[in-house]
Amino acid sequence: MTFFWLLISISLLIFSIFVARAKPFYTLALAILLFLVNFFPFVWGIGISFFDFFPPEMKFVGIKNLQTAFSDSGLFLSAKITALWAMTSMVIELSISYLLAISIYSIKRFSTLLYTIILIPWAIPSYISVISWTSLIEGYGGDSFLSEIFHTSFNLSTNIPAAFLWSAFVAAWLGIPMATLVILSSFQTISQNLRDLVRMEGANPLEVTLNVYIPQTLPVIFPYIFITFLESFKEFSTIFLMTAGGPALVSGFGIKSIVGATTTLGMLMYDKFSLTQNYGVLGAYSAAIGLIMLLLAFIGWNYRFSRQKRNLLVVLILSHIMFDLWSMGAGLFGILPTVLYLLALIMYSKRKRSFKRFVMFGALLDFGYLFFGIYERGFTGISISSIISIILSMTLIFEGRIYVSKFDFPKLLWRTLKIILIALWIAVVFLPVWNIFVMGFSRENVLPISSLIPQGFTLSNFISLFKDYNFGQAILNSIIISVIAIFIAILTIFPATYAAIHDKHALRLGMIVLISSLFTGMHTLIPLAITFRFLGLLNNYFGVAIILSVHAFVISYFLLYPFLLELPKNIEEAAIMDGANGFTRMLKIIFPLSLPALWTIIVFVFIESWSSFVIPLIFLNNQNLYPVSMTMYNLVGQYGLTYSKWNIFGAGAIVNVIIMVILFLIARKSIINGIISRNGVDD
Amino acid sequence: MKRFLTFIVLIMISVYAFATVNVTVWFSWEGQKEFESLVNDFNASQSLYHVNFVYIPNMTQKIEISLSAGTQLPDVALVRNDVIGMLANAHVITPISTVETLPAFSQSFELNGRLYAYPYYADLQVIYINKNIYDKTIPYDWTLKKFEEVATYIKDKGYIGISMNSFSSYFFNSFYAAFNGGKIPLKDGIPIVNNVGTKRAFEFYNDIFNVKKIAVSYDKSALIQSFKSGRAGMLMQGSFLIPDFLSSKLNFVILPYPNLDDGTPIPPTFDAKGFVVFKDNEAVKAFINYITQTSNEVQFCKSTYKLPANLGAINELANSNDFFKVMDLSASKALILPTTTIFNEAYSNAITTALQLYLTGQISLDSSLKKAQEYIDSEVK
Repeated sequence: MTFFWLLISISLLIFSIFVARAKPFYTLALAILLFLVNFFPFVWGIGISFFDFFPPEMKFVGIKNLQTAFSDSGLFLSAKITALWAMTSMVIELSISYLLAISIYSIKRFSTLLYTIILIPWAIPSYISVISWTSLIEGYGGDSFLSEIFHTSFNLSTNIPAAFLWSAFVAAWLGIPMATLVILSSFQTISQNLRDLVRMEGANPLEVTLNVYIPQTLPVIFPYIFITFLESFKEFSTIFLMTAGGPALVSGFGIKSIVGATTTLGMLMYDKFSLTQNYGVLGAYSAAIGLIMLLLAFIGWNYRFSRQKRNLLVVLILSHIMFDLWSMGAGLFGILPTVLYLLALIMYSKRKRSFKRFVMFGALLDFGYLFFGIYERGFTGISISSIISIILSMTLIFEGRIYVSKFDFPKLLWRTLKIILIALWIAVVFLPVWNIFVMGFSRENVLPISSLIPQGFTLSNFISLFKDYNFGQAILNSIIISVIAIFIAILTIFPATYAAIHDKHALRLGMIVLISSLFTGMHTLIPLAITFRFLGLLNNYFGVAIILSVHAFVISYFLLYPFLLELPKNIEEAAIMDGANGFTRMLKIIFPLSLPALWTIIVFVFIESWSSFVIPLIFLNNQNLYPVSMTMYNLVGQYGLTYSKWNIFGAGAIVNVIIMVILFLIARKSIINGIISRNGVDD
Repeated sequence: MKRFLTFIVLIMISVYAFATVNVTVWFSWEGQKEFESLVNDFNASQSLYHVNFVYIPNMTQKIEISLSAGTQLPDVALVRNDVIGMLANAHVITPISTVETLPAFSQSFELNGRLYAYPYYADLQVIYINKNIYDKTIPYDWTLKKFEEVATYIKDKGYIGISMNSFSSYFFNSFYAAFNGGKIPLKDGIPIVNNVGTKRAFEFYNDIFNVKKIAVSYDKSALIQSFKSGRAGMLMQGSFLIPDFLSSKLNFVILPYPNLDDGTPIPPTFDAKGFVVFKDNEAVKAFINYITQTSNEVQFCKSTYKLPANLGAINELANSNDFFKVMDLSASKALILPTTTIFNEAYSNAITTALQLYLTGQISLDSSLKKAQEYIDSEVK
């Protein structure tokens, strides 16, 4: 305990001095929570990794635990799988999102309805949609509704490609609403003159897409692409709910860890958490994974300077070297592309455009290595440095090329294709929703395999849900947690953002908020659980709400900051002349004026808190405190291991979806505006 | 003033003496309603203690996470015997005095010669047979050869011969023990898997799943559904499904596990559940005494088809119908799994992975067992 308090006090003091020195009265609360939830777990993880720590017993072991974690071949393989999975999910997400955005951009009629439908996957909590998708994909041992359509079995426990690709697809499905809106908002940056010119030239939709939409918008959303990659890299819920690590791999059958086809770093960390009582070992794995995440966050951070390509080239070279040296890259082969990137950097410094050629050759080498590596050695052949280089190279060398279509398809064909695409996507959006409706109204506790029609219509599942499974209490718990999270978020974010408007030094906190959002994940949640144990914050509403509010900081901050910045200055100046101090001005003048932005934040925090699954999974231990997410999960359990109550789950999902849809419809406009401005593309 | 102080002291003593002591109980698996009803009866029967009933859907996972995160544990929890080692190592439970029950129950919750839980009931692994698909009578002392014959006959009729989970270490344990002379091979407490017996068990699995294809592997929900929907003629599962199948009006019988052809029994896992005590006090003792009474055990086990730990309850239920008869018979040759962490975590993970890799043809038999042994051994270090 002494060690804990000593470490937390010293590190908190240093952190506060660094980030909350300017206007501490306004910023300290945010800084403390941010530190506690996002940064201290990493510090704490490193601290305890030097001990064999079975509370309360601590025995100093030097770097033994760190050595175990940093040299674990299971960790390397898991990181490689994570990188490939993240790239796969990102490619699926962005490809579909681009197609959707292009298809609905020119549609004027029913545009509101289409936007609403596109957003539905975002509004449905993942603990419902992922489980619903899983039942559609796997059904009973691979015999499912979708397996009948595709005429092949999708057993996610044994079929490696199915587990890998379907989980990546479902994760992408969850991210497509956000990505589509971001791409749509990036279309706003295309000049009207250019659009008119293209129209006058009579370009067909393919030519418009390849000559205008993609070249004009891709550079704008490159940072978003990397953020999507990073988010996919951190993904846990989808994999946990769908495959729980996936089918076994020969290469994953190691001495220290067992890694399956979808054992991403989050899953690996969770497995260690479930199986190891030695906090020192957990801390060491947290430190190792944290280091990988720090590196990726560093790359993401440098996207701020994407116009100055030097920074990106430098991080490309550094990350290449680091992953190559740390057995997660291309090894000795990595020297070749790295040298090319180095030459590109020299060329760029001399302002020579030929630097792009070097980047391109480097990327081609990396792509070749990655392709043949996977072809020859499967998952062990993945090179993280190659994957990162390919993504960064796209940013560095992308240029629009003039494309003239050799085929002259009639307009009707394009229109038909567009309608088919949109209709198909609407079906894909509604399929899991319809599935839960079928389950919820079915008398029998079975999955719909061959048809999506309820088997023996009944309403008794809803009665059982509230009577036998205490669902009313779960709803109340979700509301309590969400409301506390909203209060914490508003009470900390609002003063800090107000301070940032008035003092440039206070802006530093905003940057820290952004960095921390890139960096956190399962590797910080596990040490956080240990931290909360010492602080007495485990197993209560408040502890969960603190974490949820901190996770909502980034979106809240970047919604509020531009809003406050644009408020007329003269109102506050008048108040100063009237003798009002800063706190009074913030409370009585700025706060009421900020209510529209705060309303958007409230909606966001509420939905995010309601949809949260991982935090209650780890931090709550009492059924009486379980929110809806945990109650729903418990009805189904870990896929394949328990005897799931599908019909009760369906009933709960329907109630949940109705609540979310009502909320969503009320706040639809705020959400759409919020998502667009969150990504800053239209600013 | 004195009167007032005396009054206050008396009030405090009364409050202390008559205050209700709360006991939190975590309960899991089947019988939620039946157990809750017993809890309510207990609460109504006296006023000194109040039991808060909490249903935990996945007890083992919950306890693992609680120990890792250090979250609050209850006063009492119903656990499967395989977590005893983990809980004892974490020093969160204390040994209890001896309990009068079947030796299998005591052995299930013993670690280093000390009893760590109040045995409550047990589920037994049995073979379910769909009478609509196979209606011939099979003697209880049947052999593996007969088992394969029946499965082949069912398969030839166009059904799934036997539905079972080929990757589950839990179900594999019975074959692991049978092919190793009837018990789990251990050396200094470490499971040995890279040996002849385990190879034979793996080969048997390969034979029925991949060569003869009389068995089909499914996950738990799919296994049950394959039998309920009438696609599978036989199902290898726990006796806990009996009430579910009865309520679904399935036409079925249950049989004990067969013997190997040399007569060695394939021992079904004795899936014992018992109450571990995290906070020992009078309230907890009173509650445990109440629910383990003969009449209360009978009340719980009769409708849930569990084998009770209470000797009086066993005698009352054992010969009441064929289901209990088979369970009783199975219990007599049941396998008590080691409760050590190394067995329940390292061995379990290793054997599941080895089976999956071997049966899907990704790795040779020798390599799979060699790797499994290396993983287990490294966990010991």
